[in-house]
Amino acid sequence: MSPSTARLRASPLFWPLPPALVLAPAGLILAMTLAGTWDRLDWRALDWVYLSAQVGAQARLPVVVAAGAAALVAGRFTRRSLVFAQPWQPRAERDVPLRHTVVVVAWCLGAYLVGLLPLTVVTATRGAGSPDAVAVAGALTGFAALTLLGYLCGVAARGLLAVPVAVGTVFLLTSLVFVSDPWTALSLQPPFEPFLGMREAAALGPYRLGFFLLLTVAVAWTTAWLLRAPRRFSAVHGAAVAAVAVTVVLPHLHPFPLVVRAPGAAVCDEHGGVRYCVHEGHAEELTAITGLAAPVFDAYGVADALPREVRDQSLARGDEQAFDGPGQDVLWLPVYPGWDPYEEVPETMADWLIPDVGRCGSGSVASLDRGARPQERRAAVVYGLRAWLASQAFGGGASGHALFADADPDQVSAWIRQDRERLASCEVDPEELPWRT
Amino acid sequence: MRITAEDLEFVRPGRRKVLDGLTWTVEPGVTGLLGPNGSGKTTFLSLVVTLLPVRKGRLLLGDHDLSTAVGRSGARRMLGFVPQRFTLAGELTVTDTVAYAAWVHGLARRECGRAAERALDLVALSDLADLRTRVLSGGQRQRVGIAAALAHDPRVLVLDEPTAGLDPGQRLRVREVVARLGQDRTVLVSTHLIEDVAHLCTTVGVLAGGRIEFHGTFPELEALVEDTSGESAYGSGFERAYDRLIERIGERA
Repeated sequence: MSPSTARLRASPLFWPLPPALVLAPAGLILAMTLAGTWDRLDWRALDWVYLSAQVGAQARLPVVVAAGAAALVAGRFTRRSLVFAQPWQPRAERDVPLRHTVVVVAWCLGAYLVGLLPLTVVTATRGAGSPDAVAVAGALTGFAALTLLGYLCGVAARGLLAVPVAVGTVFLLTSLVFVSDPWTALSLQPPFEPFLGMREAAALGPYRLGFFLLLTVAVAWTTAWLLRAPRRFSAVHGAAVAAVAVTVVLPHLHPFPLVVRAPGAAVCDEHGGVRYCVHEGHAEELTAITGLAAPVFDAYGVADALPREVRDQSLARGDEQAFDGPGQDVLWLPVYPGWDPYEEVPETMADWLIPDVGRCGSGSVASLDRGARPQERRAAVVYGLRAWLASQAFGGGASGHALFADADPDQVSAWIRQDRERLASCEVDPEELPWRT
Repeated sequence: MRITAEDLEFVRPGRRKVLDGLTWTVEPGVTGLLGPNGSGKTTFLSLVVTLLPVRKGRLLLGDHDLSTAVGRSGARRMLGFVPQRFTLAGELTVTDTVAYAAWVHGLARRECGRAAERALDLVALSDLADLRTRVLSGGQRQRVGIAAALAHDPRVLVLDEPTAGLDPGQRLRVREVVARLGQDRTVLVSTHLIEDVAHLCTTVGVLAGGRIEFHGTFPELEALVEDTSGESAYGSGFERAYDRLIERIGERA
């Protein structure tokens, strides 16, 4: 390195920007991303479909920071009064904004990807499903495009006012997905968290990727046009802006389906006459599901009331199957990233076995108080049975309901067999429970 | 490198003709551009530095025709321009500022450090190279601006009021720098200060009514000023006489 080069303070990694202008937002983005994903590192059932969608979902606030940083850089370094930001200078129109945005996007996007790394590593070790490359590419392109939009705000405003304008604009754009579904095609993320057994609809990912690429081109051209002197209207530039406008309108005229079901192969086990099947990517969950569901079914004791199969919702072929509640003989169990089988399996099994509390006519109120109405007291029996059944997953005991505190499991099974019809129509009063008489 | 204007016209949208058939050749060396307010000095400089498009007449920078996009693009690499008012990014050092300016003017990044050093040496600012620009005085900032315009070694340097707002000592140093630069390039200085012209310029052009109404050496301009009496506490007799001359040229135009 020559002595003259050594005197340049700016590092090639940041040049020509002061490092603090880039490191501060990058550090903030890293912290935000780690904070947003840290609690998920020990989640059960993580999978690549979920992670692929998280690349966009977790970017929602970091991209706002990146856009603000880009606006600040543009506001500070493209002001017309600066001796090195004169519009006639040969590199003012293209190379300068390119260099600024490359440095800002590289650091901010790099920090974001580093922040996502722990969750990616954990997901990779589980190996369930496969990454959705188009969704990831769309999210990362969107991150870059919205950061460039922040830079454009800075070039247009040429001052610090650009920062709140960019932050507000990009925050608004990333929030539109929660206003209505058509915005999903134009946003970093879907309005829900997809997981194994789903995938984005075929048109959605490529449309989003195309939109963000087009936005990048239009923003880049508009930025160059603003920095140019003398300025002239360009038909190509006008066409790019018009194309962005058309791609924004199109999904509102013809809404896309958001996700489609993509059931994989099933892994099954059988216990007590009930078949338990999960998506192959959830194979690790099967033992826990069987171990927690079987005692509940055993405690219920009426074999013909049990489901023929407990099936992972990730195996459903359509939403009707997965979300329409208990079928005649298949219990669809949602297994998703972050689920807790110790809480959800016993509750779901018990829910399946006990009658709908709506039949009690108590408006979902259950009470054993002295002034409680008869319907409310009968509802308490149903709730009590539900809690007692769920507690059997852990051997019963203290986790049960007060009404069933002294109940012997065989006694409860016998009572269920005997009063099954009345129980189903919510006609059993607390005083009738055999172990309380 | 020569600046050649032939029958140059410029009309501001919805306004009067600012330049009206301006024909002038600026040769290498330091040339002063004088003229009353509103005479078209800033417009002419803006055309030379390609900020404004040439629509009527011809303007050449060497062989580059500034009425074409190709010509403007080629000319921009030969140009250095210090506007009358400019700002610096206070968080950058003097060296980083000048090196960045060199890169913005088209130099490769690896050459910028050396170019900055050379330019700072030319404007006698090497000892302040590592300071952040926010701590500089007005004269030092002006010299950083000149170094930024010089770093890519332009053949043509355009300075708009380079000594405006400086104290006498700073003005003297800037003049020394500009005079040195004029030895091997074309320097066009727009100014209101007759003293700048007297000490700096090998030739002078007086712009009035959109045309060059006088072109010659400073002694020739001086010769036109007949009556230099009337010295007062507020200015020299020559300054008064010069003002009258500019007015007279303007009226004639």
